[in-house]
Amino acid sequence: MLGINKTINGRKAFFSLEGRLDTVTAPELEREINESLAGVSELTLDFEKLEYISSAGLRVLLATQKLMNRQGGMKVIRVKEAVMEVFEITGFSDILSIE
Amino acid sequence: MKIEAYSEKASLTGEWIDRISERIGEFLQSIHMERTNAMRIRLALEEALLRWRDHFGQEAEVALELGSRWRRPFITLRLEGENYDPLVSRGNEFGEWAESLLSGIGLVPSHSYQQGLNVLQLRLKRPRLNPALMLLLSAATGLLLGLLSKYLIPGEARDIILRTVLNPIQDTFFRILNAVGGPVIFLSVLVAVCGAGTVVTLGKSGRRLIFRFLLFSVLAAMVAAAAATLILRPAVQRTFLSGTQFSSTLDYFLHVFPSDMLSPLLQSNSPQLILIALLLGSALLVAGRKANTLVRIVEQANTIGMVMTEWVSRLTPVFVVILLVMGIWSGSLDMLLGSWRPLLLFCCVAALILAIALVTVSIREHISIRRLAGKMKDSFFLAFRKASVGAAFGASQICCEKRLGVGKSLISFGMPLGLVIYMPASTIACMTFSVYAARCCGADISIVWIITALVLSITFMAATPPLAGVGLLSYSVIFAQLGIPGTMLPVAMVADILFGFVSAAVNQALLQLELLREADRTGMLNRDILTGKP
Repeated sequence: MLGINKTINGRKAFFSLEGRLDTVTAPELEREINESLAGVSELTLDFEKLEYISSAGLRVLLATQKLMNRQGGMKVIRVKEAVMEVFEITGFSDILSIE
Repeated sequence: MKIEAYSEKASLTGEWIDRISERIGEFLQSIHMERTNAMRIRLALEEALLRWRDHFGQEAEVALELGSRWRRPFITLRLEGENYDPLVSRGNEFGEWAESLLSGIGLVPSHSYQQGLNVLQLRLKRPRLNPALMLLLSAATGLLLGLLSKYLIPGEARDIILRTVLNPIQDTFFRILNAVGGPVIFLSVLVAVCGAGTVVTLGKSGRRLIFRFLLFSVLAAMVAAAAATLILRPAVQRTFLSGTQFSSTLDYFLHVFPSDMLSPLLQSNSPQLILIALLLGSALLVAGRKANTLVRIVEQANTIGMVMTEWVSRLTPVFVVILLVMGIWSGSLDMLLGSWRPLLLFCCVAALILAIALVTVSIREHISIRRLAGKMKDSFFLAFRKASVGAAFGASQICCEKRLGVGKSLISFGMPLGLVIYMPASTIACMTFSVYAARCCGADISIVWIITALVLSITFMAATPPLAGVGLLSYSVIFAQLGIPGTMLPVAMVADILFGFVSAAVNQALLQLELLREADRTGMLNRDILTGKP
């Protein structure tokens, strides 16, 4: 299960994720992001409550990062240790802007 | 360890991919796969399944099979359809990161196409016993076999076995040690110098840590040398440092400079190899970015050296048995039984140094010794049980961060650095045993001998990789330089196995205390965590 809370404020978007970002739930996030990012130049993804990320989740993050590189910028905040470990072994910690 | 076989088939839906991933995770956990490696395998196989789904659609059916063949666990995925290798990204921009996930841990999944079936198989490494325990077991086996065979096999038959079987095997093993030893020492020291350079660039803290690590290793070795000389009472030359002695000391150190760059490597001359590695490493650091390619080549060569060292260390248990049998047959049992003395002395010196470090940190950080020791005890006993600082790395990291309050950024560079170059307890062990070995074989100890032993012990303990069994390689080179005969090597091997348990625990505890002090100096200490409950 993945909970997505989003707040769009002008050109800023804030997504807070809760639960698991796996093969089943990754398309939900992809859909939400695609629907919301038109005109957005600053995207923040809050992973404080994200427990797990799979390969499919990483694909969505990479696609979003590429999109936001064209539109402005993206940052990932408050990443839990388990998810951070995935970022580190896959090299995503070098690709994403993590705070 | 029994591995449960498992197989299941379903279409490539998101639910099924997650189910496969979860099942693979459980399987890897059941074979005690290290957590990060298990995560790499899961992610890489998930990516392969996603690529199959991208190509064949989610109606395609995939079968998962888990099991083991010849004690070697495997994971197999089968999919019916045209030939499509999911390990090749074909410019798939979403999965390029997955390419190096498995090669990074030495695993190579294979794809084959047989009778309309895509087969993706990952064969995992056989689960191995704790290497230190394996060495301990082989030492016990060697002792038992040696003692039994000494009484059961007649002397003449033993001579024939020695001449025709055991001596040639021993010679071969020593030749292997000699062949691998030189390049491994050279590359390890070189990479250690280059690595230290990157830490130095982290600033004053990095430089201070390196300086303190080396200083304490030297002090520990000096205390061990003094204690071993006084208590074990080896034959000391009457004129410990006469005029002639001074001249030969000077001569010895001047001959550390080789006449050319290749002969030290060809002759496996360790002091000369260490000197060249130190000089070359420093030159590479000075050259900076211009020498980046060469540094990378050296690092890659060192990785190959490490793999070769691991191969040698896999052979070691067999040779421990052979060397011990030979040792007992040739009358080394007394020396072996007498090795309780250097072992006891080593434990006392290591305990004394650890106690001094604990008291010093406790006074300076205003925390009771009991509370400090309580916080460190879990990781201490884990390193002791595994006889490996590397195996207890995770626990040690958690201890530093969550119990001692050391900042993450300091841990991230201080701990890997310390694991490589901060080996005070191992240095004490090496010094103590070298003096004992000199005493057993009647070698005279002089100032040159002590200084050579100090330099070699510190360098070898800091430079060689922390693998079980590598001790034999170090001792073979050190003994050759110190004039100690190879007959002492079986005894050294057993002692090294026993020393290993205490060394790992004490090395780790001293490293944690050193990082704690450094954290306080650099404002990276969370005092609330430090003074909180263990």
